[in-house]
Amino acid sequence: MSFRAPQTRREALRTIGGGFGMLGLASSISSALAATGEPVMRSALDVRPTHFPAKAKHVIFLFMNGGISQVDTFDPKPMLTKYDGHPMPGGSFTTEAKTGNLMRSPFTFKKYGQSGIEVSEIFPKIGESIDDICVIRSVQTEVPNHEPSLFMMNTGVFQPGRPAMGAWLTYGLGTENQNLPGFVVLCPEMPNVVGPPLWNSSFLPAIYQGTYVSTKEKDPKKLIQFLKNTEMDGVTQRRQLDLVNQLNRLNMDGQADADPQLEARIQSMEIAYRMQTEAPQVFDLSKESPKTQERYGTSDFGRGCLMALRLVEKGVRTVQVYFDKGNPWDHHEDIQVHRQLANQSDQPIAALIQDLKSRGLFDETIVFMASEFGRTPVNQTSGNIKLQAGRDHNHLGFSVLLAGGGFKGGLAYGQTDDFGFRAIENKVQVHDLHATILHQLGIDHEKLTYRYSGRDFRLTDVAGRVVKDVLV
Amino acid sequence: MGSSAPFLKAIGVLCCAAVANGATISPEQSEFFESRIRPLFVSKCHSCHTESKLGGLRLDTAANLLAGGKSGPVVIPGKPAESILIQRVKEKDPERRMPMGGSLSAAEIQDLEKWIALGAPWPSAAPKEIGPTLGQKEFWSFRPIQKMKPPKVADAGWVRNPIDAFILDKLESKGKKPARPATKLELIRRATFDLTGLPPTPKEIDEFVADAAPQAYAKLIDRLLASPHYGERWGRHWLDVARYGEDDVRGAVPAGYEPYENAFRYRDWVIQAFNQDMPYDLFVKAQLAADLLDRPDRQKLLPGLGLLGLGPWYFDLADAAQARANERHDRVDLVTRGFLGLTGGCARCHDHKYDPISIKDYYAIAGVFASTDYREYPLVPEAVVQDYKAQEKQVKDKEAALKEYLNAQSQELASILSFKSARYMAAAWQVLGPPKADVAAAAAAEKLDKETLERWVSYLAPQQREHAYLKEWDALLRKGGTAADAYEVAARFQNQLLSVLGEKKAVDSFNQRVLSEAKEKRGAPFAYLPNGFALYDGDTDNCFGVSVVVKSLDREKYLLWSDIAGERQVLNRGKKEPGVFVYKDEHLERFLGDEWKDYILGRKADLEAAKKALPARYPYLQIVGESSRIGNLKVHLRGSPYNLGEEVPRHFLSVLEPSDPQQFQPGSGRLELAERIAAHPLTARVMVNRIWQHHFGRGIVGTPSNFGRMGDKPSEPELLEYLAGRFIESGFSIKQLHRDIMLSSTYQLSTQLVKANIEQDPDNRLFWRANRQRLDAETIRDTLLFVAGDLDLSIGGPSRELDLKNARRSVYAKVSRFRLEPYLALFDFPDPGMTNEVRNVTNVPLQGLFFLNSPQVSQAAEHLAERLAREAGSDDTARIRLAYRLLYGREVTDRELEFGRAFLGNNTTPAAWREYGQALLSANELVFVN
Repeated sequence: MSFRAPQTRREALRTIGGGFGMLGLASSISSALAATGEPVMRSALDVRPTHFPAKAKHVIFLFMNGGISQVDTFDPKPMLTKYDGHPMPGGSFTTEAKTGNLMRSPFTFKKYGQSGIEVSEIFPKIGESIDDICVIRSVQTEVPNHEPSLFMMNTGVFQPGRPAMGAWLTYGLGTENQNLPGFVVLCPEMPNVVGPPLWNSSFLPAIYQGTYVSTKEKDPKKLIQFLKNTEMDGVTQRRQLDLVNQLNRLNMDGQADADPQLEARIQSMEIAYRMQTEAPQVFDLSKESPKTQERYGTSDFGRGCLMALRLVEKGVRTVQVYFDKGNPWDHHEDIQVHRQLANQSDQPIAALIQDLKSRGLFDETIVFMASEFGRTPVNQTSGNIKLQAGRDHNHLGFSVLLAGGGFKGGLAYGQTDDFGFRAIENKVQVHDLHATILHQLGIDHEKLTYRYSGRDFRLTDVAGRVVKDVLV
Repeated sequence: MGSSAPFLKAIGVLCCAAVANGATISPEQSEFFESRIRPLFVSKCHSCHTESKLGGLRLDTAANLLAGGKSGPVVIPGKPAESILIQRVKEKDPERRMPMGGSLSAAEIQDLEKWIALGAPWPSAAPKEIGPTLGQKEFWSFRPIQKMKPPKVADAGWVRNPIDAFILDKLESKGKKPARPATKLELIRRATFDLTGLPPTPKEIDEFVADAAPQAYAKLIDRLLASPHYGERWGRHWLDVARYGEDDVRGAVPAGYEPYENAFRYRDWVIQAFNQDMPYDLFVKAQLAADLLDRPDRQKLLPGLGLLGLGPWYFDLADAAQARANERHDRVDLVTRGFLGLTGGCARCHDHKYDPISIKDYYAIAGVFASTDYREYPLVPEAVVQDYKAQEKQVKDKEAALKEYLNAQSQELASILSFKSARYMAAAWQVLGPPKADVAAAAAAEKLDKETLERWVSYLAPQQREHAYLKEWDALLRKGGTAADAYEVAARFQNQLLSVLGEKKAVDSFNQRVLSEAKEKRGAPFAYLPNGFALYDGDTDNCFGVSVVVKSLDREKYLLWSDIAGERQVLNRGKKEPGVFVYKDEHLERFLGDEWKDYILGRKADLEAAKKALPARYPYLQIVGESSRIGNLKVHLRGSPYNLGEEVPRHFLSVLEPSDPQQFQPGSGRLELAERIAAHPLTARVMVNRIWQHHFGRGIVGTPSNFGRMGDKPSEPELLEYLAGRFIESGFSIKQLHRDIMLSSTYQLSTQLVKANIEQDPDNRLFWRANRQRLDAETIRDTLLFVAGDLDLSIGGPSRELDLKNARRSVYAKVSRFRLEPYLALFDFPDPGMTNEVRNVTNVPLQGLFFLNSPQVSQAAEHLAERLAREAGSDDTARIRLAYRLLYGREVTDRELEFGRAFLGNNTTPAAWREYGQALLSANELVFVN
C-alpha cells in the first residue's frame, strides 16, 4: 500500500465532531475525507469499484448438500417412467458404486406458471415461483464424490486449499455494511463434511473468510463472537472507549511519523462498538412480523433463509445457507426421503424469493440453489445399503436454480439425455456458473486475481465462460 | 543417460534441408540458428509458446512459426520490422512486451532481426528436447554465492557493520539520509518482542537504560538470544513455513478425523533447534531425511521428520489415487517453496510457465515422496509397545464380545415379541379404539409389557405412513369396529410381519456372504495407504471400493421392517426412534432374568477394569520412513493420476544441478534431495531473507517463498548476497545472523518519517527507517497474559485449546487444519494446510470486539488491576505509573496521568481499575511496536 499524505488526513479527521470518540460510522469519516479531496484510506472491506456496471450486489447461496436428484425435482424424464426397471441403454456404468436398472421418479411433475416449466410435486411453492427462476439442467462437475465436489462448487477446485466464492467476492467487491461480516455462512450445526475449509479464505487475507453462524442459536447476541459485554453497561463502555481514543490520539501526536495503520485501528474499534447494537438486530428474527416468520416454516433451513434475507437487506455481500450438517440430501437407499427435505425447503425458498421482490432486493440479489452434484437415474444396488430405492451420485448432468440478479426467470436452460444422466446440450461447468455469477456482480472472472506463490489465482482457475443465454 | 533422462541434450546440428521460406540454407545459417536463435526460443519463449499455445502461438517448429498465432503470422521472412515477433519484443508497454514479465537484451533482439532478415532459416532437424540452458542456470538466485565487499560510503561513522555500508551506499546514491536512531526505550522493546515475542519487564528496561557501557546493547541481544523463549518465537516463524498442523481436513467418515496426538514433538523439536542454534543445513536435512543420516545424534534428529509425517494426509475414501497425488503435491510444494523459494508445485500439470522447472522435474521430486511412507516411531522399548497393544486388544475384544452378546439377546427378544404382535395390537385397540383404555391398565389386563405396548400405541396411532401394511388398521380406527374386528386385522398384520422379518433375514445372510467373499478376493485394503490412518475395513456392513451387487427388500417391506426391527421414522417430527421391538442396554436388561443380568454386570465390570488398567498410550513420533514400494512415478499428464505419461527417475530439480541431474537410488532419494537442498546457495539466500523479513517486516526479496522469475527481485541484491555468504561461512548459524542484523545501525533506526525520503520511497523499500509492526496473534495473547502476571512460561509439551484457563504461550495452542482456533483466525494466523511465507496484517472490527468484550481481555484487565494494587500499593499515581511501565515500557506523561485520574474518578473501585486496565490493554501502543 502506498503512503497517503497523512497530515491532511488527520486534519480532516480532527474537524469532524471534535475527535474520534464522537464518531460513529466509518462512512461519515470517508465522506468527510472525500470532501477534502484527499484520497480516502481504504479498509480491506471497503466497497471497491467493479470491472463493469453490476447487475447484482448480493448472493444468497442455498446449498442442498448431499446431492439433490435432478430427475425427481427439476428435470422430468418421461422415458425414465417408461423404461422403469430396464437396464439403461449404453450398458452398465459406475459413478461411485455399481448401479442397477433405471428407476422412475416416485413423484409426479406439473407445469407451472406462464413458462410452463415442469416441477416435481415435492416443490409446489417453488413451482409457483418458477417464472422468476432460471433452471439450468445441464450442469457438470468433475468427480462423483462429496468432498471433491463440495470443494469444486464452493472454491472452484476439487482439492482443498483455495478460497471460497464468498471470500473471493468480499475480496473483490468489499462489503456495504462494515458493521457486519461480508460473508456469512448459516447452518443449524457446523456442516461437517469438509467443514470450514468450504468457506475459508485460504491464501486471501483471513478477513475474507466466511463467518459461520448457527441457525439453531436463538440468542442473537451469541451469534457473533464477543458481540456482547457481560460485565459493563453501555455508558461505561462508551467512556472506556473514549479514553482509549484519547490515549491513542496522544500517542499518535508523540510519534515521529503519522501512520495510517494507527488511525485505521481507531476506526475499527469504533465500528466494533456499533456492531454490538446493529448485529444482534439483524439476526433477531422476532423483528419480523409473525406472518412473515410463518411463511418460512418452522425448519432450521427456513430460519436460515429468513436470516439470509435480513442480512442481505443490511448489505451483507454473500450469505450461504447449508441445508444441514452431514449429507442430508444423499439418498442412496430411498429417494422418497427427498419429499421430507423438500417439505422443509420448498416453502422458505419461495418465501425468500417473494420477500426479496416485495422489498425491492430481488433484482440486486442472486439466489443460487445448488448441490455438489446430482443423482443417477438408475437405482443403487451395491455398497453399504439396506434398501435399494435410492440413487447414487452423478456428476455428469444435474440441475441448479438461479433467480434474481439479472437471471432470466421462467427459463429452463440446457438438457440432459432421455434419462437425465448426462448433460447433452448447452453444458454448463461449475466454473461457468461461477463466471456467470461474478459477471452479474460486475466482475470479469479472468481479472479477479490474487497473486500468491508467484502465480495469479482465480476462482475460475483457467476456465470459466459467462453463460449469456441465462441472463436478461 | 538414455531416453529416460528428464531432458535430452541437444545433440549437434543435423544436416539442413529446409527453411522457413522454402529455400536451402547454408551450414553457417544453420549454425547461427542453433547457437543463437533456438536457445533463445527455448529459454525465453517455449514456456508459453509450445504446449500451452498462449495466444494460439507455438514457436517450436518452422511450420508453427509461420502459422503464427491469433494475430496472424508473427514472422515475415526477410522483413524484421514488419514481423510481429520483433514488434512485441521491442514493445515499450511492459504489459504487452514479450517475453512476459521480462525483456530480451539488445543483442538478442539484434540476433532475431538478423535471422529474420536472412529469411528466418530453420533447419529441418528433428525438434530436440533441451535441458535448462546455461543462461537459465545463471538466473540471479541460482548462481553460486558471490563474495561481496562492502562499498565505501561518505558517512562512514554511521556504519556499524557491513550491512550498514550496503544500505547506506544505496541511500547515498539516491541522495537520501536514514532516519534518526531509535531511543534506548524503543530499542529494548523492539528487540525483546522481536526475539522472544514478549515485552521487556520494567526491571530489564531499567537495567538496560542504566547500563551506559558501549557494549550494553550487544549484551542485551546476547541475553535475548540465550533466552529459552527465543526458540518459541523463531520456531513459530518456521512453523508457518512448515505448515505445521495437528490434524487434517477430513471427510464424511467420522473415523477419518484423527488428530495427530504427537505432533507437538515436532513443534518442540523445532523450538529446541532454534534455541540450540542448530546449523541450518542440518536443520534442513533432519526434516527431510533424519532417519537416513549417518550421524551419532540421529535419534535426536528424528522428530524433525514430523515436517513430512504430519501430513496433510488427505481423506481418501472417495478417490485414493487423487488423495495420494494431493499428498505428494503438498510435499513438493512445501519443499520447493519452503526451502528453495521456488514454486515447484506449478509444474504439476505442465512445465512451469516462468521458471525452468519441467513437469518431469516435478515428478522426479514427487517420486521421492511416493517412495516415503508415514511411520510411527515409539519412544519406548518394543516390549512396552507390545504390552500396550496386547492390553488394548484385550479391551477391544471384551467390548466386542459384550456387544455381540447383547445384540444376540436383543434379537432374541425381538423374535419373541414378533410372535406376540397380534396380541399387542389387540391391546392397542383397547387404548386407541372406542374403549379408550389406559395403557397401563390394558397392559396389565392382557399380561403384556407396558413399555412395549406404549410403543405399539405410539406406532399404531393415526399418522402419515410410508407403507401400506397398516392401511386396514388405520381404516378400522377411522370408521370404528369391534375388538374382534381389530384382532382379525392384527392377526393378518402379524402374518405379513413375520414373513417380512423372515425375508429380511434371508437377504441379510445372502449379503453377508457376498460381502465377505468380495473382501476375501480383494485381500489387502483396496488402495495402498501410505498414511496408515484411513483403513475403512472393519465394519461388516461396509465394503467400500468393491462393486458388489447386494440384495434388498422392496421398499415397502423394508420400511415395515425398519419401523418394527430397525429405526422408526417419526415423520411429522422429523426424528427417529428405535423400532417397536428394538431394546438395547438397560431397556433390554429389564427383560432378562437375574442370572443373565448378573452375567452382563460381571462382563461390564470386567471391561471397565480392563479399560482402567490400560495405560495412556506410549509416546511416539509421527514421522516418515522409506516405503516398501520405492519407485519412480510416471508423469501425470495435465496433473491427472489417471493419465500417465513416461516414467521419470527420481532426481533433483535439473536447473539447480551443475550438469545432468543424478538419479536417486536405491532409496527413496530423501537423503540425496536433502543434501542437495542443504548445499545449494539458493537455500541460504531464501533463509537469510526470511530472517531479515521477520526483523524488518519485509524481506529484501518481497516474495520470500518465490525467488523465481515471477518473484520480486531483491531490493538490495549485494546485501542479500553478502548475508547469504556470511551465513554459510558462519556454519549456517542463525543466531549469528540475528546478531549481525540487530547490531547494525539499520536495525537500530527509529520509525521517524523523513520527508525527503517519503516522496520517492513511501514503502521504505530502501530500509531508511524502521517499520512499525503490529503484534501477531500469538504475541498479542502472550502479552495480555504476561503483563497481567498470568503467563505460564514453561516450555514444550502437548497442545491445548486456548480457553481462559490456559495460561501457556500461544505457540502451544492446538493448530487444527480442520477447524482453526477462532482466536488465531481472528488475528491472521495462516492456513496451516499449506506453507506460508508472510502473515497478512488485517484490521477489522471483529478484532475490535475482541478487545471490547472478550473474556480473555477482560480477565487480563482484572488481573492487571489486581497486580497494580498488589505491587504499587494504594497510591493511584504509583499504580498508573506501574501500568505504563508494564504495558508500554515507559514512564507515564502528565497528560496521560490526568486522563487516567479523570477516568478513575475520586472513588477508585476495583471495577474502575479493571475498566481502566482494559482501556490501556486496548490502546494502539500495546499492539504496535515501534
